[in-house]
Amino acid sequence: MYCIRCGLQLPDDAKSCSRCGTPVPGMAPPQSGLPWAILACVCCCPATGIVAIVYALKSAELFKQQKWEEARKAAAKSVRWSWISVHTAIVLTLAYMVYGVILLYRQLDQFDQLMK
Amino acid sequence: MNIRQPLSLKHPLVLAAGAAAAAAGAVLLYFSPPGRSWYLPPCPLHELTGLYCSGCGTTRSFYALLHGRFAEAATWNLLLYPALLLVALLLFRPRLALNRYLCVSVLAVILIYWVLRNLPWYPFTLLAPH
Repeated sequence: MYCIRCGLQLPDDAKSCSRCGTPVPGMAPPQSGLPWAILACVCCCPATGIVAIVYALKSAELFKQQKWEEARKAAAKSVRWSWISVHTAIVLTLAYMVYGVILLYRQLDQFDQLMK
Repeated sequence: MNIRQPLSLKHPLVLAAGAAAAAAGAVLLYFSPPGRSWYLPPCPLHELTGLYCSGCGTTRSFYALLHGRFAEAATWNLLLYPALLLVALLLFRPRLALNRYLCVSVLAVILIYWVLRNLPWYPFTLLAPH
């Protein structure tokens, strides 16, 4: 986690910042879903990626308001929506592959019948 | 206080699994030209509506990247390089993600790009993946 005042990286069990002495407020800065949300938008499914970015923004705003717990929850939601993007893409690709195999077999079948 | 992070990239198992999946995907994509491989699905949005989204062309971009055609990669999806740069930056400087202006700008850029790609007039047609 990081000090909320100066940004110094601290060990997870630190009670206060070793550089500026700011006490750790019980909540580390949330791990943001922003990088995954951007990847989701540009690489697979922007519809859910946009939701992930909105939650990342919400998390940043809550963090600014020092609502640590809400900020962490929003960040977790952001990450979840990015994962939904990835899973949607994987499921669609697999479904498309299965569909392709079925089509291929059908064509082979018709080809066989034509030959007979 | 132990806080459960949603996704810890530092976990060696996560790192190994991610690297393996990326490598497998890269090898598969290297040998499958997009549009001519039966197992690479077209974008459902484009199939249904004919609209381009902000992610359209990324498979072709990565295919060009894997074959060393870096300039061509940018023509398929102009946002690819900036997005990859920003993601790398965010992974090394995670506190940047707490910057609200950055979040709003990212959201705005993606939405505006999404709209501009679909405009049928000259400078914008360059943004569409043809």
